[in-house]
This record gives sequence, structure tokens and C-alpha cells, in this order.
Amino acid sequence: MSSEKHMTRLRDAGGTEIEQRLLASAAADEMPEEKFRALVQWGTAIAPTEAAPPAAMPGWKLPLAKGLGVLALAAASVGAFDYVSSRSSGPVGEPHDVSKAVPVSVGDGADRLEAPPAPSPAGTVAAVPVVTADDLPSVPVAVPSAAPPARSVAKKPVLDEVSLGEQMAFIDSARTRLRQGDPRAALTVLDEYKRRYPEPAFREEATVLRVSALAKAGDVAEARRLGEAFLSTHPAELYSRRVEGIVRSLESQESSQ
Amino acid sequence: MRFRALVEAHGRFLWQSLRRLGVPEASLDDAIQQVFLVAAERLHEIQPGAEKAFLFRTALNVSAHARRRLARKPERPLEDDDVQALSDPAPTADDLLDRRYARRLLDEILDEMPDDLRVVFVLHEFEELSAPRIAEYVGIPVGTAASRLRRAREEFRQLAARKVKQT
Repeated sequence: MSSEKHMTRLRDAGGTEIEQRLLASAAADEMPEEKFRALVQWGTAIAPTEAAPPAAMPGWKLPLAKGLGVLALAAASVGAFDYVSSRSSGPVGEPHDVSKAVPVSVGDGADRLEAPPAPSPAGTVAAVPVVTADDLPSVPVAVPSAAPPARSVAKKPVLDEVSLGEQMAFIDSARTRLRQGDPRAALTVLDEYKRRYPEPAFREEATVLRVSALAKAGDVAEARRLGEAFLSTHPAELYSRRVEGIVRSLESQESSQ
Repeated sequence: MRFRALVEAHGRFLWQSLRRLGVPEASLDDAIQQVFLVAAERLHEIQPGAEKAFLFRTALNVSAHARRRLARKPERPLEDDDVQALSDPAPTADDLLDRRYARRLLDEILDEMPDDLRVVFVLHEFEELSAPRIAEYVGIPVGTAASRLRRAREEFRQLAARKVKQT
């Protein structure tokens, strides 16, 4: 791979036996597979597809990382994954500074980089298809189309990978619909998710999406009701800050009318 | 989804890089999340094709913060597992056949290298990058990358020779 002809790696022929043994020991630095899978799941869950940008959310305080916006919140809130450990041990550094310190070349806008939105459903709830694997190319697990999975015999807290993937597909789909400006479709997906998974792994995420979707759909009263209910039961959760932001923005909208 | 693709394509690379840049194993999960959170935040700014370099530069900053935090907590002792090997304070080449022990010694050596040399050394030895690519990843001129690489190799060789008894 190297084009540095005059600089042979010590690991190869360039080093002494001692040097080579030392360097060869780093070959064991493989990321454990289970950690990699968890990372990908986490990455899927926090993918930047927010319907409500941080700037629209007054009252946000980001304990994990100021300046990271909703992603920091999402990252610290995807409690279904054991992978996320930031809450217990705190951030490694100050990501605000980290972000600033990284030199990047600026592209020509976010839209170019986002996956092109799929054609929007006709606008009615009935027209919204239930999630299919084709709808969700980023999640390689098809949502079952038949009856709900018969795994409720034992309430096993450890989710198998298939279930997690399926559930994530719903969350992903709802988020996508919301991003596409179709909150009603998002709500339909969330309804279906709720029906299929009465004890969902992504309860908080689904609720936050629902509050966002309701607010966007103009169902302000229900958004507020659900948001306040969420806040009353999750007062200290990071997601609460986002819901609180939505509720506050609804309040300010109402007061200005 | 571009972000997920980034995680899938570069997660392993970042994990290894952070490890080799001195982030302790116990902090790797946090560190890699930090890197990807920054990437998610700035996804629209990352030029196609420059993703890996962007992630690595972010990892450099994250690892520097992690190491600074570590420096404030001075204990970085060798663990019980190493006691046997450490009964001889100057290990030999044969001791390095124990991979775990060799790995710990490698950590010590890398930790003693100046940061700027360590980075280019890691990229060259473990990622097999040439000086121009290292320059791109670290954001320095090619000439600087090449000269740092030469110095880094010398530094590494001296440290290894000092730590391991020649037999």
C-alpha cells in the first residue's frame, strides 16, 4: 500500500527482531466484533436526520457536549445499547474544542450529502406504507409483515439482534418520514411500532419522535400533553431536554398568537 | 445513510487508531463516540473521499484530550498479569514472545514518544501510509511528514533498545 519506497516499515524488513516483535504485538488491537456491531447500531440510531434542528429548541443544555446539538443528546440517550457509556464516565474531552480544532474543507451544503428523500406519500395517513425492508436500505433487517413476533412468552431484557434491527428500522423510518416533512406518515410508522412492540426497546426515542411529529403536524395540544407526560416521568433524562424544548417552543408559539 | 456508512467503514480503523494514539482501553468506547459525534455534527462539511482523514484528525484531538485527562490521574501501573514478566526489569527479546507483554511495552514506548512523532509513526507502521498520505491525514506539509517519520523511527528504535535487553 505504501508508496514510500525509501522508508520500509520497521514491522517488515526494516526493524530488528525486538522492534518487529514489539510492533507485531499491535496486531491484536482488533476492535471486538460485538463492540463494532454495537457501534454500528448506535451510529444508526443517532444518524443526523433530525426534524427539529437544535437552533429551534430553546432551553437546550447539552451536558455531554455543548455544540454537538441533538446528536450529543441522542448519543447519550440511546440507552438500549450497552455501548453508550458516556453518561457514567463523562466525555473524553471537550468536543466543542475538538470539533473546532478539526480542519475541514467546506462542501457545498448538507443536501448533497444526505440520502435523497424517497418520494413522499400522497399526504394522507392511509397512503403511507408500512415499513418494508425496501424502505429502509440502511437497516438490513426486514420488518416482519405478518403477525407480531411471538416472543412475549419470556420478557427477556436482552434483545436479540434481529429484534433490535427490526425495531431500529421503525425508528429509522419514522425519523426519515419526519425529515421528509411528512409527520403524519411518521406517526403512522410510530403507531405500527407501538402495536408490534408493546414493550419497545426504543421507547424514549419513539416518544420523542412522536412529540416532534405531533408538533409538526399541528397537533399542538397532543404534542404538549405527551411531551409534558414524558417530562414528568423522565425528569432527568437527556431526551427530556429536547422534549422540553419542543414544549417550550409550542408554548412560545401559542403566546405569540 | 451516509453517517451509518461512515461508522461501518471506519469504526474499526478509528478504534485501532485511538488505541494506538494512547487512549486507554477503558476509554475507547467514549472516545470513538466522541469522534463520530463530531463527524455527525459536521457531516455536511466533510468532502467525499476525505472522510477517513477527517475522522483521523478528529481522533487526534480526542486522543489528546483523553491523554491529558489521563495525565491528571497519574496511576498507569502495570497490572498483576505483568508481574511475572516484570520480575526482570529489563526484558529480553524472548519476553516479547508474550504478545500481551509486548503490547504493554509498545504502549510504554509510544507513550514516551513526542505526540507529533507518535502520530506519524502509527500511521506509517500500522496503517502503512506513505508520507504524502500521512501529510493529508495529519494536515501537515509532506516534507514535514517525511522528516517527522524519520525522527519517529529513530526515537522508537532508541526507546526499544533502551527498554529491551539485547541478547
